[in-house]
Amino acid sequence: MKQRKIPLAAILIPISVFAFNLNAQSKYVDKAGYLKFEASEALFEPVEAINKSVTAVLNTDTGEFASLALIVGFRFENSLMEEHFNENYIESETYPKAIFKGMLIDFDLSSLSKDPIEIMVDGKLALHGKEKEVKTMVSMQKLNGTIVMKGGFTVTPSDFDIEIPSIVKNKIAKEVLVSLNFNLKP
Amino acid sequence: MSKKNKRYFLMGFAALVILTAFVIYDRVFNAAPREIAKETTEFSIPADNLQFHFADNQAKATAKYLNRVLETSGSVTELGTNTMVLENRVQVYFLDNPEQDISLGDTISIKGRCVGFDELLLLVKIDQATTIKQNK
Repeated sequence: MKQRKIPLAAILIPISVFAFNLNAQSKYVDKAGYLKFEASEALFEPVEAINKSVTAVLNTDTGEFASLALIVGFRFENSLMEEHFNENYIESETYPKAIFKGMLIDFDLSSLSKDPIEIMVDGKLALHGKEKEVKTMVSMQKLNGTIVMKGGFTVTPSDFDIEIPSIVKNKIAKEVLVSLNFNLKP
Repeated sequence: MSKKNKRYFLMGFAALVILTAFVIYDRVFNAAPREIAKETTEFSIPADNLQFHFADNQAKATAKYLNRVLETSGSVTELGTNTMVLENRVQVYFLDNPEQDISLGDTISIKGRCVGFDELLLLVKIDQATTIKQNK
């Protein structure tokens, strides 16, 4: 019996180490991703905010993609607007984050080069206690081992049950344009 | 008071009212953004403890720390442009200042604003940070 146990461990340990390594290699992460949203109406003060502390994770084996933005990380130029956004509209104390989880359709790591290609992303965006399907094209390229992902999509406040009071309704666009820029590193 | 003086007085008074209204309007609608570095620190807590609070009970920790000014410290385990990770548990984003001389393994104390918990990477995030103390 004793003789048997030793080779078993000898096989299992390298396998588990190998599996761990494989797992680590197939994940590309950006810990300081860039996300911006714009809901400006012509003639009124721009309504836009930028978040530079967004997390994005891509599993290059499966094409699974996830991104998380902490709501209070969105910075507005006008601090009163930032306060209203957090307290009245998106209620960041109750709903502190926005999470996207989805797939890059037909993703193949080996097809990426320095020339950008368009890839379809399909998934669900959850924020303010609500969830909505988001499907959009993103541009992807690989530069010096970093996967660069850029793109955008539109959502509406009503998709997430966010009520805009009538007093400011004409100053905030019905459609919110979200743009993203991630530099994913292994 | 003569009629002329009365008129000047009224004009001056009106100008003062308009000026006051404008100052109040400006204070409210164009309020200066927060300057975290100048605000009082509300919590002082080691990086690993802070992350433990969030990992243990996210809702409770969020209610306590979100958007609050805190000081935290730990050893630098990861470095990026304008950002670093302490103890593999707390990610710090500096106010734009990429010229800092930080190396892996340094022990650093920072002051910043807690923006919440990233459950994808299990990291607490702090932005608008400034360095308070650094031991190479």
